[in-house]
Amino acid sequence: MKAKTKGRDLSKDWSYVNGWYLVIPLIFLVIFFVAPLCYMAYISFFEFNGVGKPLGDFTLSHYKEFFTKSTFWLILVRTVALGAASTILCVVLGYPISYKISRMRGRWRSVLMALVVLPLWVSMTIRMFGWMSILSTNGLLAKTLQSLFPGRDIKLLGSYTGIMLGLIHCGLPYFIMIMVGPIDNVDISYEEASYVFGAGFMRTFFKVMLPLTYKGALSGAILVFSLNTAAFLVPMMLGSGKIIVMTNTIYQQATYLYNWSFASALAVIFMVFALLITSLSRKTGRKTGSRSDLA
Amino acid sequence: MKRFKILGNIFSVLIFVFLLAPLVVVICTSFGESRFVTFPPQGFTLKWYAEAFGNVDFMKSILLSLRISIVSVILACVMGVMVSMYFWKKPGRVSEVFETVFLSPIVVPTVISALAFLQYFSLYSALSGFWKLVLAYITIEMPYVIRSVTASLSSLDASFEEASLVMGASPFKTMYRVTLPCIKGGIAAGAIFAFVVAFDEAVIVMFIRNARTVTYPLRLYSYIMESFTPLISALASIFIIISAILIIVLEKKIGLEKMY
Repeated sequence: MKAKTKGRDLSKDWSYVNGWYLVIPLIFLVIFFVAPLCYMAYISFFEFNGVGKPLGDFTLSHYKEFFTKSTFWLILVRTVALGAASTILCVVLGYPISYKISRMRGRWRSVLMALVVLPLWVSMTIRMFGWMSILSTNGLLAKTLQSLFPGRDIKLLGSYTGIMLGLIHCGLPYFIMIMVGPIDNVDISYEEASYVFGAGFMRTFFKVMLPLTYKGALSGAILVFSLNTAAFLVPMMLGSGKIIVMTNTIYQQATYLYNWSFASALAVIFMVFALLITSLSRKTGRKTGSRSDLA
Repeated sequence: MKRFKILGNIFSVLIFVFLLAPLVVVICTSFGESRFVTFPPQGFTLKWYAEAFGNVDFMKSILLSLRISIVSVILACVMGVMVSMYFWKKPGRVSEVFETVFLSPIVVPTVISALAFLQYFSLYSALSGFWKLVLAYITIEMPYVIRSVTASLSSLDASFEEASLVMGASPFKTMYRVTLPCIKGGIAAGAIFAFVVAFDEAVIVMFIRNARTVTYPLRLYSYIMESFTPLISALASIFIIISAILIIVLEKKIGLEKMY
Protein backbone atom coordinates (compact mmCIF):
# COMPACT_ATOMS: atom_id res chain seq x y z
CA MET A 1 0.00 0.00 0.00
CA LYS A 2 0.98 3.63 0.41
CA ALA A 3 3.39 2.85 3.22
CA LYS A 4 5.57 1.00 0.76
CA THR A 5 6.36 4.14 -1.23
CA LYS A 6 9.98 5.01 -0.75
CA GLY A 7 11.27 8.25 0.72
CA ARG A 8 7.99 9.57 2.03
CA ASP A 9 7.29 10.64 5.55
CA LEU A 10 5.89 7.52 7.14
CA SER A 11 3.95 9.35 9.82
CA LYS A 12 1.96 11.17 7.15
CA ASP A 13 1.37 8.06 5.16
CA TRP A 14 -0.11 5.79 7.72
CA SER A 15 -2.17 8.44 9.36
CA TYR A 16 -5.88 7.78 9.14
CA VAL A 17 -6.56 11.33 10.24
CA ASN A 18 -7.33 13.73 7.45
CA GLY A 19 -8.66 17.25 7.18
CA TRP A 20 -12.26 16.08 7.51
CA TYR A 21 -11.60 15.21 11.15
CA LEU A 22 -11.31 18.91 11.80
CA VAL A 23 -13.60 20.33 9.15
CA ILE A 24 -16.81 18.45 9.99
CA PRO A 25 -16.89 19.38 13.70
CA LEU A 26 -15.71 22.86 12.84
CA ILE A 27 -18.58 23.42 10.41
CA PHE A 28 -20.94 22.16 13.08
CA LEU A 29 -19.49 24.51 15.68
CA VAL A 30 -19.60 27.48 13.32
CA ILE A 31 -23.23 26.87 12.35
CA PHE A 32 -24.54 26.09 15.81
CA PHE A 33 -22.35 28.12 18.13
CA VAL A 34 -20.36 30.86 16.41
CA ALA A 35 -23.22 31.92 14.14
CA PRO A 36 -25.75 32.25 17.01
CA LEU A 37 -23.33 34.45 18.95
CA CYS A 38 -22.63 36.59 15.90
CA TYR A 39 -26.34 36.87 15.18
CA MET A 40 -26.91 37.95 18.78
CA ALA A 41 -24.27 40.67 18.47
CA TYR A 42 -25.82 41.69 15.14
CA ILE A 43 -29.33 42.02 16.63
CA SER A 44 -28.02 44.35 19.32
CA PHE A 45 -27.41 47.04 16.71
CA PHE A 46 -30.94 47.00 15.24
CA GLU A 47 -34.45 47.84 16.30
CA PHE A 48 -36.34 44.69 17.22
CA ASN A 49 -39.94 44.44 16.00
CA GLY A 50 -40.97 41.05 17.32
CA VAL A 51 -40.21 37.37 16.80
CA GLY A 52 -40.35 36.35 13.13
CA LYS A 53 -40.53 39.93 11.86
CA PRO A 54 -37.66 41.58 9.98
CA LEU A 55 -35.29 43.75 12.00
CA GLY A 56 -35.71 47.52 11.94
CA ASP A 57 -33.20 50.29 11.41
CA PHE A 58 -29.60 50.36 12.55
CA THR A 59 -29.29 51.96 15.97
CA LEU A 60 -26.87 52.35 18.83
CA SER A 61 -29.62 53.30 21.26
CA HIS A 62 -29.45 50.01 23.18
CA TYR A 63 -25.84 50.57 24.09
CA LYS A 64 -26.54 54.21 24.81
CA GLU A 65 -29.36 53.20 27.13
CA PHE A 66 -27.07 50.95 29.10
CA PHE A 67 -24.29 53.48 29.48
CA THR A 68 -26.50 56.44 30.33
CA LYS A 69 -28.89 54.82 32.80
CA SER A 70 -27.43 54.33 36.25
CA THR A 71 -29.82 51.43 36.93
CA PHE A 72 -27.94 49.23 34.52
CA TRP A 73 -24.56 50.41 35.69
CA LEU A 74 -25.57 49.48 39.18
CA ILE A 75 -26.59 46.00 38.03
CA LEU A 76 -23.17 45.43 36.46
CA VAL A 77 -21.38 46.68 39.57
CA ARG A 78 -23.55 44.43 41.77
CA THR A 79 -22.80 41.42 39.58
CA VAL A 80 -19.06 41.99 39.74
CA ALA A 81 -19.12 42.77 43.46
CA LEU A 82 -21.05 39.59 44.29
CA GLY A 83 -18.72 37.57 42.07
CA ALA A 84 -15.60 39.08 43.62
CA ALA A 85 -16.79 38.75 47.22
CA SER A 86 -17.85 35.13 46.78
CA THR A 87 -14.57 34.33 45.02
CA ILE A 88 -12.50 35.74 47.87
CA LEU A 89 -14.49 33.71 50.38
CA CYS A 90 -14.10 30.58 48.24
CA VAL A 91 -10.33 31.07 48.20
CA VAL A 92 -10.10 31.67 51.94
CA LEU A 93 -12.39 28.78 52.84
CA GLY A 94 -11.18 26.41 50.15
CA TYR A 95 -7.43 26.65 50.54
CA PRO A 96 -7.20 24.93 53.94
CA ILE A 97 -9.44 22.11 52.73
CA SER A 98 -7.33 21.56 49.61
CA TYR A 99 -4.28 21.57 51.81
CA LYS A 100 -5.78 18.97 54.10
CA ILE A 101 -6.81 16.71 51.22
CA SER A 102 -3.49 17.00 49.38
CA ARG A 103 -1.54 16.03 52.48
CA MET A 104 -3.65 12.92 52.90
CA ARG A 105 -3.10 9.56 51.27
CA GLY A 106 -5.18 6.52 50.58
CA ARG A 107 -8.76 5.88 51.47
CA TRP A 108 -9.59 9.10 53.33
CA ARG A 109 -8.27 11.19 50.49
CA SER A 110 -10.71 9.52 48.09
CA VAL A 111 -13.59 9.82 50.53
CA LEU A 112 -13.05 13.55 51.13
CA MET A 113 -12.57 14.18 47.42
CA ALA A 114 -15.83 12.40 46.65
CA LEU A 115 -17.63 14.46 49.31
CA VAL A 116 -16.27 17.68 47.78
CA VAL A 117 -17.44 16.88 44.27
CA LEU A 118 -20.76 15.32 45.26
CA PRO A 119 -22.58 18.69 45.19
CA LEU A 120 -21.27 19.33 41.66
CA TRP A 121 -22.80 16.11 40.39
CA VAL A 122 -26.18 16.94 41.82
CA SER A 123 -28.34 19.08 39.61
CA MET A 124 -28.02 22.81 40.24
CA THR A 125 -31.80 23.04 40.62
CA ILE A 126 -31.72 20.48 43.43
CA ARG A 127 -28.87 22.23 45.24
CA MET A 128 -30.71 25.53 45.11
CA PHE A 129 -33.90 23.83 46.27
CA GLY A 130 -31.96 22.55 49.27
CA TRP A 131 -30.77 26.06 50.03
CA MET A 132 -34.31 27.39 49.66
CA SER A 133 -35.49 24.87 52.26
CA ILE A 134 -32.73 25.95 54.64
CA LEU A 135 -33.19 29.68 54.09
CA SER A 136 -36.99 29.87 53.94
CA THR A 137 -38.71 31.62 56.84
CA ASN A 138 -39.64 28.38 58.58
CA GLY A 139 -36.32 26.77 57.73
CA LEU A 140 -33.67 25.80 60.22
CA LEU A 141 -31.23 28.66 59.75
CA ALA A 142 -33.84 31.41 59.74
CA LYS A 143 -35.49 29.97 62.86
CA THR A 144 -32.19 29.78 64.73
CA LEU A 145 -31.31 33.32 63.80
CA GLN A 146 -34.80 34.45 64.73
CA SER A 147 -34.45 32.99 68.22
CA LEU A 148 -31.03 34.61 68.59
CA PHE A 149 -32.25 38.03 67.47
CA PRO A 150 -35.93 38.06 68.42
CA GLY A 151 -36.39 41.74 67.66
CA ARG A 152 -35.42 41.58 64.02
CA ASP A 153 -37.32 40.39 61.01
CA ILE A 154 -35.08 37.72 59.51
CA LYS A 155 -35.46 37.17 55.78
CA LEU A 156 -32.71 35.13 54.19
CA LEU A 157 -34.33 34.34 50.86
CA GLY A 158 -33.95 37.33 48.60
CA SER A 159 -31.11 38.77 50.65
CA TYR A 160 -27.45 39.19 49.80
CA THR A 161 -26.58 36.65 52.51
CA GLY A 162 -28.66 34.02 50.77
CA ILE A 163 -27.12 34.70 47.36
CA MET A 164 -23.62 34.70 48.80
CA LEU A 165 -24.23 31.32 50.46
CA GLY A 166 -25.44 29.92 47.15
CA LEU A 167 -22.51 31.35 45.18
CA ILE A 168 -19.91 30.10 47.64
CA HIS A 169 -21.56 26.70 47.65
CA CYS A 170 -21.26 26.55 43.86
CA GLY A 171 -17.70 27.83 43.60
CA LEU A 172 -16.06 26.12 46.56
CA PRO A 173 -15.90 22.55 45.16
CA TYR A 174 -14.22 23.80 41.97
CA PHE A 175 -11.65 25.77 43.90
CA ILE A 176 -10.86 22.90 46.26
CA MET A 177 -10.46 20.41 43.42
CA ILE A 178 -8.22 22.74 41.40
CA MET A 179 -5.97 23.51 44.37
CA VAL A 180 -5.34 19.90 45.41
CA GLY A 181 -2.90 19.39 42.51
CA PRO A 182 -0.71 22.50 43.01
CA ILE A 183 -0.45 21.97 46.77
CA ASP A 184 0.34 18.31 46.27
CA ASN A 185 3.24 19.33 44.01
CA VAL A 186 4.88 21.22 46.86
CA ASP A 187 6.85 18.60 48.71
CA ILE A 188 6.16 18.48 52.43
CA SER A 189 9.92 18.74 53.07
CA TYR A 190 9.77 22.41 52.05
CA GLU A 191 7.43 23.07 54.92
CA GLU A 192 9.43 20.94 57.29
CA ALA A 193 12.56 22.86 56.34
CA SER A 194 10.78 26.11 57.10
CA TYR A 195 9.66 24.83 60.51
CA VAL A 196 13.11 23.45 61.28
CA PHE A 197 14.62 26.85 60.64
CA GLY A 198 12.26 28.31 63.18
CA ALA A 199 9.51 29.86 61.10
CA GLY A 200 6.05 29.71 62.61
CA PHE A 201 2.87 28.54 61.00
CA MET A 202 1.94 31.96 59.62
CA ARG A 203 5.39 32.63 58.27
CA THR A 204 5.63 29.22 56.62
CA PHE A 205 2.29 29.79 54.98
CA PHE A 206 2.99 33.27 53.63
CA LYS A 207 6.66 32.79 52.75
CA VAL A 208 6.68 29.21 51.51
CA MET A 209 3.27 27.78 50.68
CA LEU A 210 1.57 30.80 49.19
CA PRO A 211 4.33 31.84 46.76
CA LEU A 212 4.64 28.25 45.54
CA THR A 213 0.93 27.74 45.00
CA TYR A 214 0.03 31.27 43.96
CA LYS A 215 -0.42 30.41 40.29
CA GLY A 216 -2.81 27.56 40.94
CA ALA A 217 -4.80 29.65 43.39
CA LEU A 218 -5.11 32.44 40.86
CA SER A 219 -6.36 30.18 38.08
CA GLY A 220 -8.84 28.63 40.52
CA ALA A 221 -10.00 32.08 41.60
CA ILE A 222 -10.45 33.18 37.97
CA LEU A 223 -12.57 30.12 37.28
CA VAL A 224 -14.75 30.67 40.35
CA PHE A 225 -15.11 34.36 39.52
CA SER A 226 -16.20 33.70 35.97
CA LEU A 227 -18.63 31.00 37.13
CA ASN A 228 -20.11 33.16 39.87
CA THR A 229 -20.58 36.34 37.84
CA ALA A 230 -22.32 34.21 35.21
CA ALA A 231 -24.44 32.34 37.76
CA PHE A 232 -28.06 32.28 36.69
CA LEU A 233 -29.99 29.84 38.85
CA VAL A 234 -28.54 31.16 42.11
CA PRO A 235 -30.01 34.67 41.75
CA MET A 236 -33.14 33.26 40.11
CA MET A 237 -33.94 30.85 42.93
CA LEU A 238 -32.37 32.44 46.01
CA GLY A 239 -32.90 36.07 45.02
CA SER A 240 -36.72 35.78 44.87
CA GLY A 241 -36.72 38.51 42.24
CA LYS A 242 -35.28 41.08 44.61
CA ILE A 243 -31.62 40.93 43.74
CA ILE A 244 -31.08 41.85 40.14
CA VAL A 245 -27.81 40.93 38.45
CA MET A 246 -26.78 40.86 34.80
CA THR A 247 -27.91 37.31 34.11
CA ASN A 248 -31.46 37.63 35.35
CA THR A 249 -31.81 41.03 33.67
CA ILE A 250 -30.89 39.42 30.35
CA TYR A 251 -33.41 36.64 31.01
CA GLN A 252 -36.15 39.09 31.90
CA GLN A 253 -35.49 41.29 28.88
CA ALA A 254 -35.41 38.30 26.53
CA THR A 255 -38.31 36.17 27.73
CA TYR A 256 -40.79 38.47 29.49
CA LEU A 257 -40.30 41.84 27.83
CA TYR A 258 -39.30 40.40 24.43
CA ASN A 259 -36.77 43.21 24.13
CA TRP A 260 -34.31 41.06 22.24
CA SER A 261 -32.11 43.87 20.97
CA PHE A 262 -31.54 45.27 24.41
CA ALA A 263 -31.00 41.79 25.85
CA SER A 264 -28.37 41.21 23.17
CA ALA A 265 -26.67 44.51 23.93
CA LEU A 266 -26.57 43.55 27.62
CA ALA A 267 -25.13 40.15 26.75
CA VAL A 268 -22.45 41.68 24.52
CA ILE A 269 -21.43 44.17 27.20
CA PHE A 270 -21.43 41.47 29.85
CA MET A 271 -19.29 39.16 27.74
CA VAL A 272 -16.75 41.85 26.82
CA PHE A 273 -16.52 42.80 30.46
CA ALA A 274 -16.09 39.22 31.66
CA LEU A 275 -13.40 38.50 29.05
CA LEU A 276 -11.61 41.72 29.95
CA ILE A 277 -11.41 40.91 33.64
CA THR A 278 -10.32 37.32 33.07
CA SER A 279 -7.60 38.23 30.59
CA LEU A 280 -6.37 41.05 32.85
CA SER A 281 -6.03 38.79 35.85
CA ARG A 282 -4.40 36.13 33.67
CA LYS A 283 -1.75 38.64 32.60
CA THR A 284 -0.92 39.82 36.10
CA GLY A 285 -0.84 36.19 37.16
CA ARG A 286 1.69 35.33 34.50
CA LYS A 287 3.98 38.14 35.56
CA THR A 288 3.92 37.31 39.25
CA GLY A 289 4.07 33.63 38.46
CA SER A 290 7.30 33.98 36.53
CA ARG A 291 8.83 36.00 39.33
CA SER A 292 8.14 33.31 41.88
CA ASP A 293 9.54 30.73 39.46
CA LEU A 294 12.82 32.58 39.35
CA ALA A 295 13.11 33.00 43.08
CA MET B 1 1.10 23.53 66.27
CA LYS B 2 -1.37 21.33 68.05
CA ARG B 3 -3.78 24.22 68.46
CA PHE B 4 -3.71 24.91 64.73
CA LYS B 5 -4.39 21.28 64.00
CA ILE B 6 -7.49 21.16 66.21
CA LEU B 7 -8.77 24.43 64.81
CA GLY B 8 -8.10 23.13 61.30
CA ASN B 9 -10.08 19.99 61.95
CA ILE B 10 -13.06 21.90 63.33
CA PHE B 11 -12.90 24.20 60.31
CA SER B 12 -12.82 21.28 57.87
CA VAL B 13 -15.82 19.66 59.49
CA LEU B 14 -17.74 22.94 59.26
CA ILE B 15 -16.89 23.33 55.56
CA PHE B 16 -18.03 19.79 54.80
CA VAL B 17 -21.24 20.39 56.72
CA PHE B 18 -21.76 23.51 54.62
CA LEU B 19 -21.08 21.67 51.35
CA LEU B 20 -23.40 18.79 52.12
CA ALA B 21 -26.10 20.65 54.05
CA PRO B 22 -28.45 21.33 51.11
CA LEU B 23 -28.28 17.72 49.97
CA VAL B 24 -28.85 16.32 53.44
CA VAL B 25 -31.74 18.72 54.02
CA VAL B 26 -33.39 17.65 50.76
CA ILE B 27 -33.13 13.97 51.72
CA CYS B 28 -34.41 14.62 55.26
CA THR B 29 -37.39 16.71 54.19
CA SER B 30 -38.48 14.04 51.71
CA PHE B 31 -39.67 11.94 54.67
CA GLY B 32 -41.67 14.74 56.27
CA GLU B 33 -45.40 14.35 56.75
CA SER B 34 -46.51 17.95 56.38
CA ARG B 35 -47.68 19.31 53.04
CA PHE B 36 -44.88 21.88 52.90
CA VAL B 37 -41.15 21.42 53.06
CA THR B 38 -40.01 21.99 56.63
CA PHE B 39 -36.72 21.31 58.23
CA PRO B 40 -36.36 19.55 60.63
CA PRO B 41 -39.15 17.36 59.18
CA GLN B 42 -42.11 16.23 61.25
CA GLY B 43 -43.06 12.59 61.33
CA PHE B 44 -41.92 9.91 58.96
CA THR B 45 -43.60 8.81 55.79
CA LEU B 46 -42.73 7.27 52.45
CA LYS B 47 -45.84 8.54 50.71
CA TRP B 48 -43.89 11.19 48.76
CA TYR B 49 -41.75 8.51 47.18
CA ALA B 50 -44.84 6.58 46.15
CA GLU B 51 -46.23 9.77 44.69
CA ALA B 52 -42.94 10.58 42.96
CA PHE B 53 -42.82 7.28 41.13
CA GLY B 54 -46.46 7.63 40.16
CA ASN B 55 -46.05 11.17 38.80
CA VAL B 56 -46.59 10.91 35.03
CA ASP B 57 -45.35 14.43 34.26
CA PHE B 58 -42.06 13.80 35.95
CA MET B 59 -41.53 10.41 34.36
CA LYS B 60 -42.15 11.98 30.96
CA SER B 61 -39.65 14.74 31.69
CA ILE B 62 -37.02 12.29 32.86
CA LEU B 63 -37.47 10.21 29.71
CA LEU B 64 -37.21 13.33 27.56
CA SER B 65 -34.04 14.43 29.36
CA LEU B 66 -32.57 10.96 28.91
CA ARG B 67 -33.37 10.98 25.20
CA ILE B 68 -31.90 14.45 24.66
CA SER B 69 -28.79 13.65 26.68
CA ILE B 70 -28.10 10.30 25.03
CA VAL B 71 -28.50 11.58 21.46
CA SER B 72 -26.42 14.69 22.10
CA VAL B 73 -23.70 12.81 23.99
CA ILE B 74 -23.26 10.27 21.18
CA LEU B 75 -22.92 13.02 18.56
CA ALA B 76 -20.67 15.14 20.77
CA CYS B 77 -18.42 12.12 21.42
CA VAL B 78 -18.06 11.27 17.74
CA MET B 79 -17.13 14.83 16.82
CA GLY B 80 -15.05 15.41 19.94
CA VAL B 81 -12.95 12.29 19.32
CA MET B 82 -12.44 13.31 15.68
CA VAL B 83 -11.17 16.74 16.65
CA SER B 84 -8.95 15.43 19.44
CA MET B 85 -7.36 12.93 17.06
CA TYR B 86 -6.70 15.68 14.56
CA PHE B 87 -5.00 17.83 17.23
CA TRP B 88 -2.99 14.82 18.36
CA LYS B 89 -1.75 13.88 14.89
CA LYS B 90 -1.20 17.38 13.62
CA PRO B 91 0.11 19.49 16.47
CA GLY B 92 1.18 23.05 15.78
CA ARG B 93 0.08 26.63 15.81
CA VAL B 94 -3.07 26.04 13.74
CA SER B 95 -4.27 23.24 15.98
CA GLU B 96 -3.71 25.38 19.06
CA VAL B 97 -5.86 28.15 17.65
CA PHE B 98 -8.64 25.72 16.74
CA GLU B 99 -8.41 24.11 20.15
CA THR B 100 -9.31 27.42 21.83
CA VAL B 101 -12.19 27.77 19.37
CA PHE B 102 -13.48 24.32 20.26
CA LEU B 103 -13.15 24.93 23.99
CA SER B 104 -14.84 28.36 23.79
CA PRO B 105 -18.40 27.07 24.51
CA ILE B 106 -17.44 26.53 28.17
CA VAL B 107 -15.82 29.94 28.43
CA VAL B 108 -18.87 31.84 27.19
CA PRO B 109 -21.39 32.24 30.05
CA THR B 110 -24.33 29.89 29.52
CA VAL B 111 -26.85 32.71 29.81
CA ILE B 112 -25.27 34.43 26.83
CA SER B 113 -25.18 31.33 24.66
CA ALA B 114 -28.74 30.56 25.76
CA LEU B 115 -29.89 33.98 24.54
CA ALA B 116 -27.98 33.45 21.30
CA PHE B 117 -29.64 30.05 20.80
CA LEU B 118 -33.07 31.52 21.49
CA GLN B 119 -32.63 34.22 18.87
CA TYR B 120 -30.85 32.08 16.30
CA PHE B 121 -33.20 29.12 16.48
CA SER B 122 -36.22 31.41 16.12
CA LEU B 123 -35.03 31.78 12.51
CA TYR B 124 -35.54 28.04 11.98
CA SER B 125 -39.11 27.38 12.93
CA ALA B 126 -39.06 24.01 11.15
CA LEU B 127 -36.67 22.61 13.75
CA SER B 128 -38.46 20.82 16.59
CA GLY B 129 -37.75 21.77 20.19
CA PHE B 130 -36.10 18.41 20.76
CA TRP B 131 -33.50 18.97 18.03
CA LYS B 132 -32.91 22.56 19.03
CA LEU B 133 -31.91 21.35 22.48
CA VAL B 134 -29.83 18.47 21.10
CA LEU B 135 -27.90 20.78 18.76
CA ALA B 136 -27.34 23.39 21.45
CA TYR B 137 -26.21 20.76 23.96
CA ILE B 138 -23.73 19.16 21.53
CA THR B 139 -21.82 22.44 21.28
CA ILE B 140 -21.52 22.84 25.05
CA GLU B 141 -20.69 19.13 25.58
CA MET B 142 -17.92 18.91 22.99
CA PRO B 143 -15.31 20.78 25.09
CA TYR B 144 -15.64 18.24 27.91
CA VAL B 145 -15.15 15.33 25.52
CA ILE B 146 -12.22 17.03 23.77
CA ARG B 147 -10.51 17.82 27.05
CA SER B 148 -10.74 14.34 28.43
CA VAL B 149 -9.91 12.55 25.13
CA THR B 150 -6.95 14.87 24.47
CA ALA B 151 -5.62 14.09 27.93
CA SER B 152 -5.72 10.34 27.37
CA LEU B 153 -4.30 10.64 23.84
CA SER B 154 -1.33 12.63 25.10
CA SER B 155 -0.36 9.79 27.40
CA LEU B 156 -0.76 7.20 24.63
CA ASP B 157 2.43 5.80 23.16
CA ALA B 158 2.47 6.26 19.37
CA SER B 159 4.51 3.05 18.99
CA PHE B 160 1.34 1.02 19.58
CA GLU B 161 0.01 2.32 16.31
CA GLU B 162 3.32 1.81 14.57
CA ALA B 163 3.40 -1.79 15.72
CA SER B 164 -0.07 -2.36 14.36
CA LEU B 165 0.85 -0.80 11.02
CA VAL B 166 4.10 -2.73 10.75
CA MET B 167 2.16 -5.92 11.33
CA GLY B 168 0.13 -5.04 8.26
CA ALA B 169 -3.11 -3.57 9.63
CA SER B 170 -4.62 -0.81 7.53
CA PRO B 171 -4.74 2.70 9.06
CA PHE B 172 -8.46 2.42 9.73
CA LYS B 173 -8.16 -1.00 11.25
CA THR B 174 -5.43 0.46 13.46
CA MET B 175 -7.77 3.20 14.58
CA TYR B 176 -10.62 0.83 15.44
CA ARG B 177 -8.59 -1.99 16.89
CA VAL B 178 -5.72 -0.16 18.58
CA THR B 179 -6.16 3.56 19.12
CA LEU B 180 -9.82 3.74 20.11
CA PRO B 181 -9.60 0.81 22.57
CA CYS B 182 -6.55 2.47 24.14
CA ILE B 183 -8.37 5.73 24.81
CA LYS B 184 -11.75 4.30 25.71
CA GLY B 185 -11.28 5.35 29.33
CA GLY B 186 -10.88 8.97 28.28
CA ILE B 187 -13.87 8.76 25.96
CA ALA B 188 -15.98 7.24 28.73
CA ALA B 189 -14.97 9.95 31.22
CA GLY B 190 -15.75 12.66 28.67
CA ALA B 191 -19.07 11.05 27.82
CA ILE B 192 -20.09 10.82 31.49
CA PHE B 193 -19.19 14.46 32.05
CA ALA B 194 -21.07 15.49 28.93
CA PHE B 195 -24.07 13.42 29.97
CA VAL B 196 -24.25 15.03 33.39
CA VAL B 197 -23.93 18.48 31.81
CA ALA B 198 -26.77 17.78 29.39
CA PHE B 199 -28.99 16.06 31.91
CA ASP B 200 -28.71 18.86 34.48
CA GLU B 201 -28.78 21.75 32.02
CA ALA B 202 -31.43 24.22 33.13
CA VAL B 203 -30.37 27.57 31.67
CA ILE B 204 -30.56 26.99 27.92
CA VAL B 205 -33.80 25.08 28.26
CA MET B 206 -35.32 27.95 30.26
CA PHE B 207 -34.62 30.27 27.35
CA ILE B 208 -35.72 28.05 24.46
CA ARG B 209 -38.42 26.07 26.21
CA ASN B 210 -41.80 25.25 24.82
CA ALA B 211 -44.65 23.15 26.15
CA ARG B 212 -43.27 20.02 24.48
CA THR B 213 -39.72 20.23 25.80
CA VAL B 214 -40.13 20.33 29.55
CA THR B 215 -36.96 18.52 30.56
CA TYR B 216 -36.32 17.16 34.02
CA PRO B 217 -34.47 20.21 35.44
CA LEU B 218 -37.11 22.53 34.02
CA ARG B 219 -39.97 20.45 35.49
CA LEU B 220 -38.20 20.48 38.83
CA TYR B 221 -37.73 24.24 38.62
CA SER B 222 -41.37 24.95 37.83
CA TYR B 223 -42.56 22.60 40.62
CA ILE B 224 -40.27 24.36 43.11
CA MET B 225 -41.58 27.76 42.07
CA GLU B 226 -45.25 26.70 42.12
CA SER B 227 -45.40 24.43 45.11
CA PHE B 228 -42.94 23.73 47.84
CA THR B 229 -43.94 20.18 48.75
CA PRO B 230 -41.87 17.21 49.95
CA LEU B 231 -42.74 15.56 46.63
CA ILE B 232 -39.92 17.62 45.11
CA SER B 233 -37.61 16.52 47.92
CA ALA B 234 -38.41 12.90 47.18
CA LEU B 235 -37.75 13.34 43.46
CA ALA B 236 -34.53 15.21 44.14
CA SER B 237 -33.38 12.63 46.70
CA ILE B 238 -33.58 9.88 44.11
CA PHE B 239 -31.15 11.80 41.94
CA ILE B 240 -28.83 12.68 44.81
CA ILE B 241 -28.51 8.97 45.56
CA ILE B 242 -27.87 8.18 41.87
CA SER B 243 -25.16 10.89 41.73
CA ALA B 244 -23.52 9.53 44.88
CA ILE B 245 -23.42 6.01 43.42
CA LEU B 246 -22.02 7.37 40.16
CA ILE B 247 -19.24 9.19 41.99
CA ILE B 248 -18.25 6.12 43.98
CA VAL B 249 -18.06 4.08 40.77
CA LEU B 250 -16.04 6.79 39.00
CA GLU B 251 -13.60 7.19 41.86
CA LYS B 252 -13.03 3.43 41.86
CA LYS B 253 -12.70 3.08 38.08
CA ILE B 254 -11.06 6.28 36.85
CA GLY B 255 -10.17 8.43 39.84
CA LEU B 256 -11.86 11.75 40.43
CA GLU B 257 -8.63 13.70 40.60
CA LYS B 258 -7.91 13.13 36.94
CA MET B 259 -11.25 14.50 35.90
CA TYR B 260 -10.72 18.02 37.21
